[in-house]
Amino acid sequence: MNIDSVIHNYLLSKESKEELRLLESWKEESKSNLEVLQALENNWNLLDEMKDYRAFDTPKAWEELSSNMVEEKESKVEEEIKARKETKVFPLWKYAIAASVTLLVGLFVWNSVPNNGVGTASEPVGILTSVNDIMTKDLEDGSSVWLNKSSALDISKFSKSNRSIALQAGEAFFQVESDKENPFSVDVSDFQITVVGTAFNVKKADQEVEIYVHEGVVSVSNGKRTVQLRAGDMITGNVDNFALFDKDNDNLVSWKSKKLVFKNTFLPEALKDISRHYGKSVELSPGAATENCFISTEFRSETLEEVIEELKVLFQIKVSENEERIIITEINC
Amino acid sequence: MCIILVIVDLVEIKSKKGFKQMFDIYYNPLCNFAYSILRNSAKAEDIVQDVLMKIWEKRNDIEFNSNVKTYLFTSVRNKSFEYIRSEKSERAKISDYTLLQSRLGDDKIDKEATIMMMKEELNNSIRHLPPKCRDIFVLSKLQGLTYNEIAELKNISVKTVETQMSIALRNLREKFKAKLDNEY
Repeated sequence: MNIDSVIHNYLLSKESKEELRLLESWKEESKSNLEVLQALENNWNLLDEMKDYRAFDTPKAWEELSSNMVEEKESKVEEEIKARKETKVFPLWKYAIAASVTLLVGLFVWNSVPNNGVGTASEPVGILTSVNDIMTKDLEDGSSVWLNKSSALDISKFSKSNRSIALQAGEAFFQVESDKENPFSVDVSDFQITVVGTAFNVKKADQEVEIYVHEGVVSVSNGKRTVQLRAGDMITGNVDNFALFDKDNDNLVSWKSKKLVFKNTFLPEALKDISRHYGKSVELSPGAATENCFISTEFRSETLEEVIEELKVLFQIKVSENEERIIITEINC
Repeated sequence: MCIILVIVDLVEIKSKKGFKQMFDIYYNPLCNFAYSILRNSAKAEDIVQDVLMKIWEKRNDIEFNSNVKTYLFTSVRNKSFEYIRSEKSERAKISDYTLLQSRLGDDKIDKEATIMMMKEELNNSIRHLPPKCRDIFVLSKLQGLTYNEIAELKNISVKTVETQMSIALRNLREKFKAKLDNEY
């Protein structure tokens, strides 16, 4: 006999003697059975007083209330940015490969990216490697490749009819000549990025995958599943959990465009781009009030020191610095 | 008490994130509590929002000697009573206001708050029941229909109603068990 059916009859006071006997022995089985039954009885009776009980719209009420709440440390803007990010987080590809990869893909309108006189590689087709300088390579199908510092690219298998390339390390930017018959693909570890004709950027680092699309659509596959990213989308995360952000941030390929552009950008976000560009972390100390800090400026050839100087002028910041990072200890927006 | 009440760390409500946690836990039970006094849901929400906003504004000054729950329910009660009096409505004169005052006196507010939180918890549990048995459970226990009436309404057998009620009870039982296990 089903104990829940016995409990049901017991609560309705219509249990048979047999059922009551069963219930008694069930109660004696464990202390937790006894307590659970008491909880059920209490709640069963409580229900009689709950005919008016309703669900008020808590999220809506919070929206109303929080719009009037002022807080020192965590600004509304920051919360909104967080909320925007959090809402789109979802688990993507799950597969059991221990190694995780970082990959950055940015799709650009070619004309919008100025060529700032990067050096041209002269090696034969094979493996391109760069150490201290950015290099470029024209491919036989008319496409071009930019390779960031400390990067390696395998183009040994590349031909007009088999447009496949593998990024072994670092970061690369591709301007792809349109050819619908022969898709252009880039392999990064176990990921394959496929496009027909456009320009995009790939980065491989240690723990994360990042894919950013500036314009058009890029397909990214892990062999099991293919995800299409549209303009402004960025995927980031490890192999088990990816988050999709609505980034729309050209500064992600500032290494290639050689410029950082901020248009009324929330300062903590701008600092991430600056840190990424200069390869040194610029952080806010936890107590720094930044809710009103927005920045509109452009950096092209400035050194990090010059950037910090400008921040000093703009926001009266005070900093403390060591080898690895610069910490903004005071700020006035 | 068989149901554990979640009490937010007092220090925590000083950040917006912590405050939201408290808000999410207490907003609905507080509104229901205010509604039980005012019988006006819009006014109930207004009062609860006012009380919570005041707490937010004073968050750095408030000394929570008793727990947050008691503080919140007492504040909402006081505001609701204040409203009834200021309204100078018939309601303020009639006897059930006096009854309410004595039923919700300072010595009883804690117990009332606890019951309200239990109702909230139970209401949430019911909402999370599988849809079919939730419908039947609500019709039976909250809307007071007999099993025969439910069977007729839903075009199912009385036996099915009983089965679905048992399923609902199993769900609740498992939920309570999980909570009790957590408690120890």
